[in-house]
Amino acid sequence: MKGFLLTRGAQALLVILIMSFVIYSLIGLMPGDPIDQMISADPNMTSADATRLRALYGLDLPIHQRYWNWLSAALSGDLGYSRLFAKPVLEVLLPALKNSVMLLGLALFMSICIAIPIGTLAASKPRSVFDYGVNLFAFAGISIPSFWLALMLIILFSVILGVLPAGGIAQSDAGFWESMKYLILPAATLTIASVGGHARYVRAAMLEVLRQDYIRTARAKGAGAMRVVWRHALRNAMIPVVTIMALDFGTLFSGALITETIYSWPGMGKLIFDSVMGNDCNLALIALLFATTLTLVGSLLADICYAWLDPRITLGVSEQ
Amino acid sequence: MVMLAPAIEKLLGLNANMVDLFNRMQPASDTHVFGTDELGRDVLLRLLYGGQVSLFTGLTAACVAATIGTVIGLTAGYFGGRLDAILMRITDGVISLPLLPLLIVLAALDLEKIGLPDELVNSEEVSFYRIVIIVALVGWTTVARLVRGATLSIKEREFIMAAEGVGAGHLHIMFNHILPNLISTIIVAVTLSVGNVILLESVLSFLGLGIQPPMPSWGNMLTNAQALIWEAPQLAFYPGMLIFITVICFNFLGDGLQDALDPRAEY
Amino acid sequence: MNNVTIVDMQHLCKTFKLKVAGSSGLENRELQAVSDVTLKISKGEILALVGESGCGKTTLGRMLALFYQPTSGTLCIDGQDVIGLKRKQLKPIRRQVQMIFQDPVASLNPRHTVEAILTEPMKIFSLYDSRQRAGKAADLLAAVGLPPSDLKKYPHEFSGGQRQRISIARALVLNPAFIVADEPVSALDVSVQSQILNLMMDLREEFQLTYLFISHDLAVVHHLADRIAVMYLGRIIEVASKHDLFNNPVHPYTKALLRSVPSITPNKQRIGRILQGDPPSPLYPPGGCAFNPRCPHASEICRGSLPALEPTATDPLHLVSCHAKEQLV
Repeated sequence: MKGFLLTRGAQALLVILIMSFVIYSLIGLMPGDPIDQMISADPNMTSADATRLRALYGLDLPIHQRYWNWLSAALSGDLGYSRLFAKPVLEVLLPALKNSVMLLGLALFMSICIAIPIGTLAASKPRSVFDYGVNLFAFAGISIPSFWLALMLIILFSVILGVLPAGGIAQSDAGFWESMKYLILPAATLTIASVGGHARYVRAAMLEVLRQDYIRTARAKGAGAMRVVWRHALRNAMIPVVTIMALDFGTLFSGALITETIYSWPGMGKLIFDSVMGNDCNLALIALLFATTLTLVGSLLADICYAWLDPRITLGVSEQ
Repeated sequence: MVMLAPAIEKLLGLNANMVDLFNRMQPASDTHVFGTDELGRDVLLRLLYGGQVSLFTGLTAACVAATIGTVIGLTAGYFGGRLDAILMRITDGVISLPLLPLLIVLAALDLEKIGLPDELVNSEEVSFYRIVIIVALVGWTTVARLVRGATLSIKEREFIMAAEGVGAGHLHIMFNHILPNLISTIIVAVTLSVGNVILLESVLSFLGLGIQPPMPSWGNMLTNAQALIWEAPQLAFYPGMLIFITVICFNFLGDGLQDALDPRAEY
Repeated sequence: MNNVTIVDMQHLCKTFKLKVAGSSGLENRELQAVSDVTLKISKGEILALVGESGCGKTTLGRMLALFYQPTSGTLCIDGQDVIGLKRKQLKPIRRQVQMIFQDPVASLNPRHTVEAILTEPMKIFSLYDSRQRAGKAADLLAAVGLPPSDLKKYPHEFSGGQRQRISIARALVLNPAFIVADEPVSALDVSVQSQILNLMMDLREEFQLTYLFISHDLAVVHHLADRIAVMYLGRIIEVASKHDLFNNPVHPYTKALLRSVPSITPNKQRIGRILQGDPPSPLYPPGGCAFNPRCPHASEICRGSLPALEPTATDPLHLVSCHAKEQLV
């Protein structure tokens, strides 16, 4: 177990390092560098000034040296300054992270709460009308463009009915229900888009378990159909389900880019989108890297959960 | 239906790009079956042309992605060992990345800084090529995994050994013996990924990073619709509905094909 | 039968590295599939290799057909040493050695027509032009008793026996001198088996072939072998001409094998016991003679040391690996 953790941890770290370089280079390829922006802001600057400024900020160095300078600064805690928000990057990042975790946590929680019962029911009556219904619903969830779903919900609840706000977030002094109002539509969008997939996953895991011998034994002992499903099978079916949830856990932090953008929900996803669109290099770099790291940690957690929950799995490395 | 766009255009005596500022945002009528948009253009025709663009982009990107995925999956599965381990680690790595944010960065790149010639950068099709490449870059992983799984089982069959016995080289075995037996797997994978690709394309176009106006695509038609959500909510309905129907069809088709071609499913 | 050696094996060994679930997790273990096989096959003969499943006969056959590299020992085919040769260097030698596989379903690519299957070897070796290839393929098909119209068909359109004929035709395309047939009839109906065996006999005359015929079925072996080698747990334990082996078997294992063949004369008295138990796992071979745990004649020496494969006192061509062979003749 220890060896497995070490190798996977090292691999994840390597991927993060590689990705940091890739992202750094990509950001450098985005339109407009800081000096160009200074030149356009100040018409008195000459090209000689620009060259001097480039040298001052180290922008004339080759890419690997610039990356190295940035990396050593970042590791010593200097993440840079956000141009768009005129604040240190970290101060922009943390509230966005909080908002994303709130939104996606709620959506994930609702999705699981709905998916487990309907997935289990579908599996306990395979090929029934209900099962086909769940399947159709799952496909609809996978296939629906989430931004369009969001638009439709806005049209329905904000434009036509006018009961919920079309976007944004409540003032910090607003009451609980007032804040929830802003959360409902984005969370509902995300839930609708993911619950079908989750239900399908629960159903598949459940069907697999129901095929096992010990379920037949339980049935042979005379346990009722519902008791077999809910008491004996569900616990075992949870193993793969928890894995997929852990995978989703990683996406909690990278935010839901589309949904957040449409609803103007100030989370990580919107932050990344705005910073990339607004050429805020420092912010985009850190936000992207942060999202990548946490997603990788999420998938690492999923692996660990899987191994931890299922004693039969030996993680490719022999256990001593 | 989508293929027939020019014919329908003639039939209705309308032009997809014809601007009619006196008839903006009309509801459905006899001349404009689905109404008109903010510039007075016929929504039905734009939907059809947008469909052409979206479907063509989706299919092209899915095929490019499938080609990359097939080559990687086939190589990993056939040679096995360390090469397999490395390639599959890369695949896992790509899968575990937060794709959409990275796609946004890729879509926002300044092509002139990469050193592409100006004519290309400023040409109309560049948004099309760009989106095909971007989607293919991330879309190959599913195909690679499926193909690798299938290759692993096919290469153990005796006819592979038989081919080796008559002196066939690695490439000959990979492309003449294994590849033909992978066709059904690849078709399933492509079908399943076309849906995803169309979704991705529409998302990027919606955000203004994909197919650029005036070329219509279902995604960028929604961008305009979002801005007009208070004035003309019906404009937002049709393109999204079409994306939804198209994607769900491809997903059902892929799922059905998978069951039909391999009753035991699941690699 | 002349006495030119076409295949010469000296101390041939093949080990596979495996991961096995042991007391402390997965352990790396070596599986000695073939151990110290020294054997010669003369041009034109049919040598049968018999043994229970898992005894290593298929591994040995695949080494001779150049699919596996031996772990140690030497192997000469048609006078050419093949040890350590790379894939490219092996290619010309493959024209001399071909293989017929056990499973007529798995050994033909379902996506290729018969014509593609039969012309492929010629394409790989750049032999003839395309029209000559088609003609050659038709000739071969005729030689194995199938009409030329079958060239355009796919494997699934044929019965098991017909597929095996196609498989045999493919083995003949490159005009090889030596053919390894790995249980070529065991997947077929009994009524079809003899047709295929007769075909193989006819083809031997027509194409001057040498066969290594791998089988677990002594009745089949009796039908066509000139000489028989008996294998047990990776080792050859007895080699003799067919007549000798069936009439004067020496090794207790060979005797037991022969007794296990169902007889068509039921009142013929069966002497001695039928073998008890299963063969030991090749992962954990017993010390000394590999057969000692099941052998009715096992003594102290059998548990302590490995008997050499040596001629019996009466017949220099009858080789046996048994400490008690003189008492058992």
